[in-house]
Amino acid sequence: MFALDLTFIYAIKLAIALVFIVGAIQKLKDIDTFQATVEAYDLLPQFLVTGFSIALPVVELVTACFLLVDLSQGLYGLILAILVLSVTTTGIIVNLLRGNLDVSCGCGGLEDEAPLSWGLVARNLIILAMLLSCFSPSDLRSLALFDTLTIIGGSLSVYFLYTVTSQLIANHPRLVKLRESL
Amino acid sequence: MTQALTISVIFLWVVIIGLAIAIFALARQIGILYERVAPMGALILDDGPSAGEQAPIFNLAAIGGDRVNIGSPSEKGELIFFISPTCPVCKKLIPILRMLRDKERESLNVILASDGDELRQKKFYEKARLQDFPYVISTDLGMSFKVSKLPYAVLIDEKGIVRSKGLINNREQLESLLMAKDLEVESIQEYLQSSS
Repeated sequence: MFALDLTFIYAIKLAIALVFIVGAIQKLKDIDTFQATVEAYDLLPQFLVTGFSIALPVVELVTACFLLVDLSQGLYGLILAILVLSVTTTGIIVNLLRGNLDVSCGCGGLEDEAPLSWGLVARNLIILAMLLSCFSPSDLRSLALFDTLTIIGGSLSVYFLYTVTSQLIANHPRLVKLRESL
Repeated sequence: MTQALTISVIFLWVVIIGLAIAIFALARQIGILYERVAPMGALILDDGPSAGEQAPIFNLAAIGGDRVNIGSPSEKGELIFFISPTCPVCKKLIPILRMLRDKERESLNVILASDGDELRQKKFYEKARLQDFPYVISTDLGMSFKVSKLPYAVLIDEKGIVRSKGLINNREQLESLLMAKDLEVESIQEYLQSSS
């Protein structure tokens, strides 16, 4: 079977940990807005909204910690990350199918907030695929110092590509509006 | 040779990360540009009473018990601001609204309007500390102005005539409503179109 080199697995985990950390910090910083967003998703009964809007970023942080602590072998981080992403992506899909497009993503991060769109679903599916690829067997070669460079460089590149993608997804409806107004 | 390769790879990584950051910064700037350029001023979405027409007349009970007159002639104009507890942008606009109200105190009453579950509205009203605004809950009000997207604002003058209206996402758009009233057009877009 195809074996993924350890450096890729490390880089993917690091990058996704970064996505979770920045997203969680953003949510916790502006918890009121995030709570309003959770409410707008309209999936939870009112009494769960506050709890969920605090729990989600906390779970994101925990996930990031698990991903970082056990970069090589750990599965908890991966499983948690897949769970979190599945839950949020399902939330997005349900609202897209309902035609509830006014809701903002609530994803958090360096990029601007995007309203719900299939672009976000595609983005999340790519991240899910990356997470799943980490389950493939890898040869346990010992890493040289030089591999660290690949891992750090690779993960930062992946992270910034993620923010670029998210930003472009956020830009798209604005471009549509601009076209309509001209 | 190995040393040369090592240095080359390090150099490449630095450049790639630098480029990724630069692309992100550019994408963000483009986003800001879209937003600034696109809807110049508050965007009108649909029909409902247009500028120059008589606003529908309402007499509604605000939370707290006061009665609020909308659309009937009075000494001050009215800015009806449609919001909802589930709209994050609305919450961000409340401080701006407060500032506008204080600035235009002499000539303008700012009224918040919403509809839906009363209990939820009251919770929102208390949590967002909106006691200093008249806050009415009425589905009919939103229907008669054909409000489909939030936050939405309608400016009515002293005689009960609609002067301008539109979807409001930021301070500029809110101010553009008042500007549109001064320029006697329904929206800034209309002004730009007629002058170009």
